[in-house]
Amino acid sequence: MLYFYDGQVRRYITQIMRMLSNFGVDDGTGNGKTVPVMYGDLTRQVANIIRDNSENKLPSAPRMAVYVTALEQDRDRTGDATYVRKTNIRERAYDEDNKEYLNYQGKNYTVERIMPTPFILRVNVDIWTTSTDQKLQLLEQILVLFNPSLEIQTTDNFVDWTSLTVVHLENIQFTNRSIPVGVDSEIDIATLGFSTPIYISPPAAVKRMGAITNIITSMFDEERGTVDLGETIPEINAYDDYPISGKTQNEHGSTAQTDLARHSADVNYKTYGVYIDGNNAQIIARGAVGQTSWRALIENLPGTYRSNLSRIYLTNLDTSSLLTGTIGIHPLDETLLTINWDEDSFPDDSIITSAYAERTSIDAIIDPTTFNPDSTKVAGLRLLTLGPIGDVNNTFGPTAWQNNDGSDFVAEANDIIEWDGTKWTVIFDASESNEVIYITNLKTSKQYRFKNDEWLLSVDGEYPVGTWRIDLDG
Amino acid sequence: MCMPRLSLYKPERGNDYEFLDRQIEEMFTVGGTDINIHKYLGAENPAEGDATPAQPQYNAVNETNIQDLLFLENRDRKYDADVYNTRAIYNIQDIDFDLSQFGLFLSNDTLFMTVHIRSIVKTLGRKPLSGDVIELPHLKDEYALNELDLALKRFYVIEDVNRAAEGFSPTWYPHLYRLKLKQIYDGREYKDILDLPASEDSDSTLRDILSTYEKEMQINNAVVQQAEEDAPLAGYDVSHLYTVAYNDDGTVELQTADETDIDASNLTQLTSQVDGRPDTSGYTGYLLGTKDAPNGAPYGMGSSFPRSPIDGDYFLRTDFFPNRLFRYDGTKWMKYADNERITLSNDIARKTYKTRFINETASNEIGGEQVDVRQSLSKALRPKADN
Repeated sequence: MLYFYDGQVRRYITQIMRMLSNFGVDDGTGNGKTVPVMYGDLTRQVANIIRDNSENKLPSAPRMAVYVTALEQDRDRTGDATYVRKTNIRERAYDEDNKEYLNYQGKNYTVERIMPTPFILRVNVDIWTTSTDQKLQLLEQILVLFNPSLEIQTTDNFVDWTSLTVVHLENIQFTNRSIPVGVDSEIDIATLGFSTPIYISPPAAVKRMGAITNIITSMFDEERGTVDLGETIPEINAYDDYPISGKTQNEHGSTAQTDLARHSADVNYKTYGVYIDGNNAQIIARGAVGQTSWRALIENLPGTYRSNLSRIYLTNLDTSSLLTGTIGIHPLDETLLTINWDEDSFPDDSIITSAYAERTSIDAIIDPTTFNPDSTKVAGLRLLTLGPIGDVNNTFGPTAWQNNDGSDFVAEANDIIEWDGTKWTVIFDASESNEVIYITNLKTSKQYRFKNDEWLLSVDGEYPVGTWRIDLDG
Repeated sequence: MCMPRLSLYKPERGNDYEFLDRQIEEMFTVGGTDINIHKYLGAENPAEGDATPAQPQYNAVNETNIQDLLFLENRDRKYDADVYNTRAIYNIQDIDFDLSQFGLFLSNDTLFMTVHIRSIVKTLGRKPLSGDVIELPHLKDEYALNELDLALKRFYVIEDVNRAAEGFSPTWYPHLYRLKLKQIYDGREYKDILDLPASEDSDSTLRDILSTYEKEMQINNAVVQQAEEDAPLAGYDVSHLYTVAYNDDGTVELQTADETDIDASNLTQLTSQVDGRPDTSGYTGYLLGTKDAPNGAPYGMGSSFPRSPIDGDYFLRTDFFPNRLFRYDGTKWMKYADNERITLSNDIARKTYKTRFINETASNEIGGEQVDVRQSLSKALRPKADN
């Protein structure tokens, strides 16, 4: 076990002593004299120090002494020992240099507190007075507060759910003397017996805020009343770096839900979607793109937004891989989020095989009407054309795109073509392909995706509700 | 003629008694130790207005007066400013300390001291009395653990006085009193003595150097300070926590540059602020309200609302008890929170539902007369004498 000690009982005793402090008695001149309160079970060494190590020192009276008489487990208040209660806390930002809290949001936490153990702390307070009148002065001031109990608090920490308790006055012994007094007069002590229900807590778990901000999918099938086991069996996702959302494709496009549960839950804050255009992201809210401020969303998320450190995660709907990059709110337009993509998170490029080579990249994207390949034409050169080259009905095609034998070369827009040293070949026919293809343009190092008969940056597009999330803490 | 019967006892104290008494007195001079006696004069007389039948005012201060006729105790004792010196003999005994809940006490601190009757009566002008305080100069402690250059004196109070059994001579007449002594304490009863200067040219009183009170109060204050550090105020501190402001549709409320109603001349509007100002606290619990606006927002205070507020302004009304913080919602001032967190220490600032009756210091003018609000229930509105 790791050592821990939080001084919990000590704090209760401290507060009980505070509760009894600052009471006064008349010192005979009409002025009040504050009655000191000290812990009753002091050590002999400290007692000698208080007396200045001299027998001539005079003890002062009246005095109050507080000491523990019992610490008992309170079986009536025991609860579920496994119960854990979570509280989500947003702190204000703190300026370490000037030691002050600022007026915007800082760190966010989730604090988990496990059920503490209940005890009854019994405490006696001995009151030494030198006269009956003095005793009554003190008792009147103290006893009036207990009707029947008095609240104390060990801390004012918002997350400490055990700090508030009450002190019950259980019994009063008016004097320790027997009547008649007899030969020897003992000092006169009145004793008040108090009990207070307390808790002793193990340490809390303080974590990065774990509030649910994205529900990836609804696992619950409302029609059948069952839970989609596919999402609940941990082995399925055990070896994935990130959880993969369930999704289906229908006539409206992709939605984030499992096959079983057609009732998608509210996902993402305010059911927003995201539209990605290159390095920019915009919120899709109620069908409108770019009308909603990212700041409003980020303020609502746990964590502290840090420009270019906070991250966005998007689930690629084709490959279910997770795209990510650091984000920064555009300083002039808060509806724009600038993303610095982590290209390692991009999906794997597709292999395009030709008679000459197997490659996952192209060398450039060209406009064949303005690009002359003569100077760059080496064996193995792969190009993505933005427009058609030649035409099967042409009798004389463009000279720049002719093969070595003088024959014309014909390709369509969006095709990938390759020069094998003697002739051009279409190695990817866009008009024939129904697959989603990824390739990287070596000239710009950007990845492109071919889908629905068009090439786009691989990250571009609409990411519906449930397929994206933001992690402010990176 | 017959010889008178031989008898050392005589109905009157004769020459035998006188002879023996002189020898005994001399024995005290030769073998006794000095004692300084603070003579008890009587209980302090209360002022006429404070006197009651059970605690009456006497014609004069007298040692036979009883201050409190109900509890039969003399709490406010008056001592002679002069200190009387005589000789006494007692058996020195080893003493131990009892460690009690109130610190160290001398365990067998009861001394039985004998004094010569005629000497002490001649010195004091009366028989020694329970309540007289005796200082033993030979028990001064020069090596106490304090930073003062003064030795600590040892004081005892007489508890009982009777004739010592060993003080009866063959004449059957007593020559000695046996004084039962106990160490005094720093209490109200010995105030007159302990208020004396510790030495002739000292600014300190005997209490300053002899009493443990100061050290005990330092310890007590340190404990209270610790308690106040642990829980400065009742309830819970959420001043360092952040509350998100929301619009009516549940979206986060922002204060952006394109808003048209921002008044840059308004002191309560901060250019650094990007969020709106919440109309309710984001935290609920027991006693969370303070006078401070959420998220460190600025606020005004006073006994009337300011003119021309803008949406989101906070204002603390100090004429409310407890003080109440309002937020202007564009059309009216809405209650945000009450400043209900108060100290848990028993000082005069503590004004809970009950302690506000105890710590009330105000007075009202009623019918041209200043009347204290706080009055003992038994004395409030008692009829005045009309004779």
